[in-house]
Amino acid sequence: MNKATVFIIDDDQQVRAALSLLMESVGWKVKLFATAVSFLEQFDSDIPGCIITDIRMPMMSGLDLQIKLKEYRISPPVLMITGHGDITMAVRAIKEGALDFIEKPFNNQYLLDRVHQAIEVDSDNRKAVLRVLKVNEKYNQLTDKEKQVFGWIIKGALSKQIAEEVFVTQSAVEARRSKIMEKMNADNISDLMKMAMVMGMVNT
Amino acid sequence: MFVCRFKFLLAALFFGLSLSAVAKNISIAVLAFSGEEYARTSWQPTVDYLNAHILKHRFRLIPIEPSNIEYLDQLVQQQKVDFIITQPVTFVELQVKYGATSILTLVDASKSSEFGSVIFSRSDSDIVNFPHIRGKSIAGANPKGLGGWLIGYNELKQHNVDVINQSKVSFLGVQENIVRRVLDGSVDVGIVRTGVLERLANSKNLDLAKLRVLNQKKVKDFPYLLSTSLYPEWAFVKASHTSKLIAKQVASTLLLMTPGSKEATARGYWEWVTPINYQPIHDLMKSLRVGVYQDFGKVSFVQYIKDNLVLSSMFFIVLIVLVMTGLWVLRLNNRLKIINYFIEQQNNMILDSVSEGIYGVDLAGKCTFINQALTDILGWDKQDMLGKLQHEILHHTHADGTPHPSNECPVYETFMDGEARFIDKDTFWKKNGQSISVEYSATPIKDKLGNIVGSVVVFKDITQQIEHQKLQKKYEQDLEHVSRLNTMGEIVTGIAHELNQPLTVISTMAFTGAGLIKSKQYDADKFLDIFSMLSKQAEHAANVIKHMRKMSNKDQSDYALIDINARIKGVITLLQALIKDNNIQLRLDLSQTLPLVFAQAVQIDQVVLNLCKNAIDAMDGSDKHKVLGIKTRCLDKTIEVAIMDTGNGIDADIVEHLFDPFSTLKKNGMGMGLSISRSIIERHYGNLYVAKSTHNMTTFKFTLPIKAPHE
Repeated sequence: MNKATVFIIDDDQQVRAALSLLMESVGWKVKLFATAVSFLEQFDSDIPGCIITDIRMPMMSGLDLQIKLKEYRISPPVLMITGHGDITMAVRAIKEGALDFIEKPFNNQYLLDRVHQAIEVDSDNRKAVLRVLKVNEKYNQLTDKEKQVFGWIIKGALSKQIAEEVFVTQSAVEARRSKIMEKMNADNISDLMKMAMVMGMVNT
Repeated sequence: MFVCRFKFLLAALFFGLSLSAVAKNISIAVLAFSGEEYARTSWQPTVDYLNAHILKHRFRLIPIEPSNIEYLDQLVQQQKVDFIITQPVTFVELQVKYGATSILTLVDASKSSEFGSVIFSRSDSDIVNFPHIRGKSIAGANPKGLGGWLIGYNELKQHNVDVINQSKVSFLGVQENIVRRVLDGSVDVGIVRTGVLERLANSKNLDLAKLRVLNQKKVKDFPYLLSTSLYPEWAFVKASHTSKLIAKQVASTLLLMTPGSKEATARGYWEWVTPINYQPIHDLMKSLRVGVYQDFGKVSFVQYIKDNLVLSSMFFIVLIVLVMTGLWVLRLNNRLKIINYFIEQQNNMILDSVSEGIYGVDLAGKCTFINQALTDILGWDKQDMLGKLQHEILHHTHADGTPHPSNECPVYETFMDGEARFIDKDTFWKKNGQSISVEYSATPIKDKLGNIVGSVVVFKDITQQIEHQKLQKKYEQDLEHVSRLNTMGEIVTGIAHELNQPLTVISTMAFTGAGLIKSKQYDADKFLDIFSMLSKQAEHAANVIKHMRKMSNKDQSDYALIDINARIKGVITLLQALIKDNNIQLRLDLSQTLPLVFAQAVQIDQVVLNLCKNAIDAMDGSDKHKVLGIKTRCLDKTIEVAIMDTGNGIDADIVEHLFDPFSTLKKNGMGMGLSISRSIIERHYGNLYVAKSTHNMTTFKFTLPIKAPHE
């Protein structure tokens, strides 16, 4: 947990310094940036943590940064801070995936809580991403015929129905099913379903 | 002459010492018609006769020719002559002028004491009576001769024959010439003294039948031909100063002279007789206006006019002209008086009809006149003011209650230095004890010679005007304030943001500090950082609030020396957030050698704020790189502030209305910003204008004088 880093992006040096002291006082590692551009230049998506950014900044705003980060498979959650109680901007930020939108001057405890929360979210995200990677890895071990059957299984089709769809015998379907279960390391259909969901094959 | 007088003096001295009855030299002047020499020889025997018979005195003869008659006058006047033997006209003159009297009358050789004139023509001429003489030629001896002219002339006049105007007159001197000329026909009519014709007839064979005596008169015992009245002969005349005693002696001696004696015949006379009446001579002289009677004629005015028609008509014309001129001058004078009166009335009317109060002051400071408006405005009337010291009545105290000494009174200074002056604000006191604000002019009054004799004051009650100005100023102040508030309202979010920054930092720092203490992390360096940031941020917040409050304050700031760069930086603190939020780059180019200017700080802030806010607004929604530039520099006598933006610029047709009140390009604008900014700058004797765009930047510039006109 302590490896997590709080990235602080604000054009106001005083604000950056204050936030830095605050975060360090509770033990977070801190990295400071005066602009979104300089942050992006040094961005490493493997470093866990969270981003605290001002919305209005010269050259690149907080919102623009948020959009840019989506290009990465994984990025730390964003906490927007602003001096303006601007609702449209807040809605936009949340819609784009910001974790929170906090008005200056903020309640410092709330901010600390949100940072803590964000880092947990980041950690969860990173675990989820790891699981998807693992499932995908197993899935890629399946043959094409097995992947075909896999597709029918997660749609809830019975062996008999699958046999008719793929023009093989029911026993051949049963054999491929047990092979899939084995390769995917699944105990039952429910496990398979979960994996399919992680891979985004099924809408929740 | 001198020797003569010397002798006389000696004689006078001698006799004066020896005798009480003064023996004298007696002078006898005689009129010498035929020359001095002849007079001496002819009259000397008569004088000798006197000397022979009156031993007490010595008689002396002074012949005087008629041409020298003024000398006779002189002698008589100066009492240097005692007796005068002369013809009647001269005697009458001396009688009238010097009170001479005749003591004897001469009887001539024909034993007559009277004489007259004979008026005659040639016997063969058609001139038979006096009226025939009109239009003919007539000759006399000389114009002043009695028998040879005047008597005849007078006689003709009595017969209404005015030969002077009706005939051709010539004077021939010697009477014989007259007879000759009549005889040869070159003259129609002649006038000669009685006896001349007879004498010529006796001596020169004149044939009296060849002549016709006109208006012939017969007088008993008068032996000669005669056409006229008779007049007395020569007179022996006593000057007024001559003693009666001597006169009596002389008269009696001569009366006793034997008639026809050798002494008498030497002069061709017969004897002397008691004086006869010379009144006919007086009458004749009056009638002809001769000698002393030259001016005679008051009794016969009409006659005079008749005689001198041309002259008198000219005189009358002149007289009438004079009288008319006199009347005209009188009328003119009268009209002038009336006009003067009207002018005076009119002056008074004008004085009284103007709305300004007017009064005059003499050199003593006393009021010489006032007009109605003065009474209307101040309540003081003529009785209160005239002759009184104006300063003590209406000018004695300043508006603030301090006394106003009369030697500082501009009205008096005006006639001291002769300079007209205008006082734009002063205080006059009304009769009811209230004061009013006035403006007035004091002008010296000069007399014809240019000497200053006082001054005249024309004043106006400006109390209301000043009230109005105050109201106007208050209105302007209010408007400026409202406009300021308006601008502040527009940037208030920015200001709030600007305050949020320090507040955020403060709250975070404080929280952090507390957290560090709770977790017992006592890092001194960290706490130092925290506290220094805390104070810095609090100061920054206070600064923003101070600016904000100043801008929102209603009162106008006082004039003071201000640093324009500092004012601009102050305004920028309010705009910082706005600039940041709008993604605007701020470029400050402030001169480091800018002098201070004398100005109202907040008002200048307001102008800078307005212009910056306008610049920011102008760039709203622009896709271009947004730059707000502020540049200050020092010019010759002014400092110049330029505020530039990279907005869309201003259309040329809008520029001229840019500074009009209530003209705006903004949705929520009041339209007062530029108008008020300009009036603020102009109040500071500076200029605010749109400069030509350079480098695609819209530029507003304003200037402020370095040396303020107030100083």
